[in-house]
Amino acid sequence: MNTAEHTTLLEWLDLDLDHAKSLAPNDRAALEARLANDAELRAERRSLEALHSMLDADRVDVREGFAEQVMESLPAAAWDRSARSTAWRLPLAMMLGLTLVSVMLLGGASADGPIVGTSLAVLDFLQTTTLAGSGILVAAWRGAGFGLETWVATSGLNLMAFATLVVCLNLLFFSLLRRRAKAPAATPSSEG
Amino acid sequence: MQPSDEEMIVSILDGETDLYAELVRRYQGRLVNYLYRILRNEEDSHDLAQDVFIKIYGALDRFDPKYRFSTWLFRVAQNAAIDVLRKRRLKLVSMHRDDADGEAGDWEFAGDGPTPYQDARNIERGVAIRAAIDDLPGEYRELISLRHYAELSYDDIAQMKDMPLGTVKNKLFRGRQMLKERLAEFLTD
Repeated sequence: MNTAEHTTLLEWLDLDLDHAKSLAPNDRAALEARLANDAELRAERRSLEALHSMLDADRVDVREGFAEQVMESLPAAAWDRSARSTAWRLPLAMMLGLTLVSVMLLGGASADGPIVGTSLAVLDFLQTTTLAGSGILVAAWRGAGFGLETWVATSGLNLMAFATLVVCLNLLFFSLLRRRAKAPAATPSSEG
Repeated sequence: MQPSDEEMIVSILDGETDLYAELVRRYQGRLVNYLYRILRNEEDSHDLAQDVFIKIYGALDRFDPKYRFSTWLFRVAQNAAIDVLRKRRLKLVSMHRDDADGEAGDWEFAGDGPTPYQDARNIERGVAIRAAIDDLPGEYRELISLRHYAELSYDDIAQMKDMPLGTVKNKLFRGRQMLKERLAEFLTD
């Protein structure tokens, strides 16, 4: 038997023993026929069987409760809809509860007024607060704009400094946008 | 018939998150043993296996079904183990030890359990096989670990390593031939 043929037989033996079940039926038949007549090949098979058993036996045991420990350690995943779906319920329930309490308290305070009128009063209060808040915000921006306009108009140097600041802020903004666009999306194959 | 890994992932993403425990049980043995081959520490391999399962859970929605779950799991595990080794700056050394008595004893267990001699012999075999695997060239060592400890199929290994199937078969054959030569004293009749 030449070396190449011997190597092929060894490869067939190795593949057959490795539970790969990918040895073609013809090849297996040829291998079995050769094994029947070749003591050296049979000894080779015994060595390979011993090696496979040795590799398979050399294992560590998984500690008890490992799976339970993993499950207890799992954080809420972003994709976990069951966790996400309840997130809005508590704040909404609290808001409704507070609204109900407010309506009841105000309704009780004004014993003569109807509940509907009290609810309208609460809504009116919320509207007024929102408008007042936005009014303050607008006033703040107008004040800041007025102050800036005054400062910029005082000299050409101030105007140039302001223009430079605006350009730098824009450049920073665009560079941040480009950096975000270039960042590769995380894929499962690249994690770890 | 048990659901496939991919079917279980679909169910988990649909809200049956408790099924993930079943997925963990399917792979815990293989993952711990695979990591043990790399990290050489039983506790570290358990801890890292837990971290890998947690990481996988968080990324389940990004699992690409064109890959098998097993190849994804062990690829993540491999990268995680490499990161640990880098941090620990662990140096893999050979643990060669000559057998002074030169005996090649029968390694089958006796019916009543191993005798002290057999216990010692089994420990010696364990040390020898780990040293022999360590001595293999990098790629052969990796393929042996993926086949015999991660228990990946030849197709899975080919996919994970982006390697032709024939190359996987050939390298595993050569790796085992090298191991056979190094462990000859434990494999004789």
